[in-house]
Amino acid sequence: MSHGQKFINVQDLLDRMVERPGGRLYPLAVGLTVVGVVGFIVGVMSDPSRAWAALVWNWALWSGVSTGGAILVAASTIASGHWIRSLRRLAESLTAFMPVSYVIMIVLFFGLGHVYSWVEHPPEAKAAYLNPGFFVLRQVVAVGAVYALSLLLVYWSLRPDLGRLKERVGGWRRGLYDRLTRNWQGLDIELERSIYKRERLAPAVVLVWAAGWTVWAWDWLMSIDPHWFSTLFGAWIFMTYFLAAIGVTAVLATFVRRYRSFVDIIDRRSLHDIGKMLFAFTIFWTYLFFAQYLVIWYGRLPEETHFIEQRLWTVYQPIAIIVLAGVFLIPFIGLLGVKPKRTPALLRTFATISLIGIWFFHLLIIGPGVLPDAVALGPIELAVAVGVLGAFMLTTMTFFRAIPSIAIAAGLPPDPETEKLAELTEPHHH
Amino acid sequence: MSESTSTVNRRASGLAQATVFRRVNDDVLATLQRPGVGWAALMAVVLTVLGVAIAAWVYQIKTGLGVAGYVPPVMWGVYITDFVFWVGIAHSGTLISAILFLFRAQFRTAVYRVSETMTVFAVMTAGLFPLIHLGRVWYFYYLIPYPNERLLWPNFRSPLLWDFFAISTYFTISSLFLYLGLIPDIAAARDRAEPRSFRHRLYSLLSLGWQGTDSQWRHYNRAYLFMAGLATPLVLSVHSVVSWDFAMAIVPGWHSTIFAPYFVAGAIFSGVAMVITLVVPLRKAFHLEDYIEEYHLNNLAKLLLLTSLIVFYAYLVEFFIAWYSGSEFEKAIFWDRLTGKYAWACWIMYICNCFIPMSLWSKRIRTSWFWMFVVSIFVNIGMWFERFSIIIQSLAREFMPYQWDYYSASWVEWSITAGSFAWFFMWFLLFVKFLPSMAIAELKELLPPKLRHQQEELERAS
Repeated sequence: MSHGQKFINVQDLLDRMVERPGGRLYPLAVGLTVVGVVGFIVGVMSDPSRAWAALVWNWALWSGVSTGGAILVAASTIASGHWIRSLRRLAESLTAFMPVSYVIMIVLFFGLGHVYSWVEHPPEAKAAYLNPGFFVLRQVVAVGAVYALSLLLVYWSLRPDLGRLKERVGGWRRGLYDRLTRNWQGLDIELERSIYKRERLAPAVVLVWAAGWTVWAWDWLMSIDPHWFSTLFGAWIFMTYFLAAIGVTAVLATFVRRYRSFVDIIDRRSLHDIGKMLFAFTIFWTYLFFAQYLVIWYGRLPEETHFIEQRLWTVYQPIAIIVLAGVFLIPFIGLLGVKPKRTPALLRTFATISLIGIWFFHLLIIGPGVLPDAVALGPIELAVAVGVLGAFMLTTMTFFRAIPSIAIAAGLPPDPETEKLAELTEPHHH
Repeated sequence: MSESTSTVNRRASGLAQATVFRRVNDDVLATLQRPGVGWAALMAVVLTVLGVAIAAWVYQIKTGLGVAGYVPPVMWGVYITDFVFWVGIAHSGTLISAILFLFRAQFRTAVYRVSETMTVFAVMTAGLFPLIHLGRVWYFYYLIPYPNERLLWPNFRSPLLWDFFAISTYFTISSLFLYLGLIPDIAAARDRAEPRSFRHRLYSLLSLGWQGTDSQWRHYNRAYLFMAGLATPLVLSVHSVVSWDFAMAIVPGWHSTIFAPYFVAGAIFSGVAMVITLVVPLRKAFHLEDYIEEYHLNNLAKLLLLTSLIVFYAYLVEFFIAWYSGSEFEKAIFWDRLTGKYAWACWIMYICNCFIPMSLWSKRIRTSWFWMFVVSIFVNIGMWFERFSIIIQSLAREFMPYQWDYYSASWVEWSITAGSFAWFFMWFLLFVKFLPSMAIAELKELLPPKLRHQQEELERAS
């Protein structure tokens, strides 16, 4: 199967790699973060439960996205997915938020009582589970394990690339690359080691994430209503983040190819592939939603329906409609064809709509728990939202300033369909 | 390398290619030769078991459903278990042929024909059980949703009705999908058959005048892609609907939101196991070692491990949420599952579905034909008992303790269950002798790019 690929010169590519992005967006990201911090502090003083809830909500979204990035990489490693090669570093960049996310989580432990009613009034039957001490312990361990394994996976993916590039960079980057490539054993061995390590780490990352993020979803999101339960909830939430990570990767891809002139590597086929993933998991998300909704609607048990009722038939109804349209209807119809998936502007638009939908989805889950009679969306929430977004942008941009946005050593067996990148893994000698 | 040598090389490899293509035809079509003693013996066993099952069914129809082991409140028993089991088996076919096609997972090529066929036959088997489960089977057409003489429609809110639509849609699409993929291969068999023989006539009819022209291939590929796209949501929806037969009721142990995806994963799990159960002996019997390799087995094994983990996850989540819900009934039913009268069935299910498949973390087991065959048998058993546990244990321990009872299946039910396997294998045995059990055209595609003209030349010359 030939796609009329033109050969890409490795030396050329390495030269382009070490060019750093301009960092023009730094002031914006810093500004957003400052707005967020100020907004949060003002919020904690004026209306603490809403401010803390807003932090949970936005922290949850971007932490989930950052794990989703690691899972996208891990899953395609397990499945030997070659399509992700040109986008892999973009998905990996999402994990850069993990350290910041862990710190925010520790901050959040101090505000649990403002968000979760079970801190004050634990339901008798589940007090053994829903109590602050055990909650903190679970989260420190589960989130810590997911983050540590994810970052390790990314480290082994970066290592051969950094070793190859370190001669070409100077300054702090040189120091960073040297530190990350300590005990360098030569490119061939490093490439093999990288594959070996990643193939063994990837299943562990996925397993720990599926287990850890299920508990995470019960604790941070489901327990907002301590009387409600749904067996599918955990899986639904972690698949939401998988979808969100695909969306963010798609958006990043459209920008990076344009502004970093990687149009030849992140070509339209790459966009088509990530677009298909976005489309497929949009449908899957809706399927998981419907599988829960239908069972609860049909069962008509008050202990199950009240959660849905509070979100679909109250002041929150418009939010529910936005979520359904944003996460399902618009991306589903929009991405049905081939063209929207291959057209950068359209793909970016639909991915962004999906992400906005997922942002509102968090409001829909958390909002009624702290403010049942009005939609919990005001200046405080918006400020916190842009703040966490700013922090996420800062981490991702810093990642790209330090590390090239394309994975050179794809480190997978060559594939007839992506000969181009298989070529790039060949060590090149002068 | 100069221009001319590369041309020569290319031509040489082209000729080698053509011979390879011929070998693919020869090897795969060799499976269609006159059956041997082994095949006849298997067929005899299968027909005997089927005969017993038919006799048992006739006896049940004459005597009434009382001959089955039903005791109130357990009015769904082994027949419904069999129904769900066979629908589940059907799932990997479409998964392998449609979803793996869309994901460009090439290991599907060697096994997808077998699994697609299995799908169609498994649905044909599953479809019998709603009939067998009927008290008065001669009124079977009541199942079909049409208005009666007072223009009353059946209850569209009943999951049993959704089932009717789901299963019939699934049967239609999976048969069409199987048939579509078969067309070029039937044409290959046609060209090989004795002119004017029965087989030649049959294959000519079925191959719809296939000539292998570029335009035909173009349409074929588009059609295949669209069918795959349409069949993919079906894999999820059909078994979701089957799961809702249970989850819609408020019976403890049934009413659970995770049921739909968990049933789908379980269905794929059992289906992949059945594919392995079928492919291992098939490969041996027809000497297809060059086509079905350890690479394929390893990938099927990984699929088995993945779905086993999903099922395991669902079991664990169900236990936790039963406790977390605070509902006494949920807690009781799950505790009873581990320790009650049906604990034996439940432990078979946990051991076969969760613990034994954990051996698949080892590559040595994943690439061993013998062990994979053994593991796949355990998974088949485990998945049958999963349905048995879910259906019967929950019904036997419903809300009112004075109603509780112990159901055990009668000889009639066991005979019919055995008969369902016989019925399934009968169709499969017929299939391997009448239609190519591997996708010839796709196998060739996986070889280096084809040089059709040279191949035609070579074939004309011979």
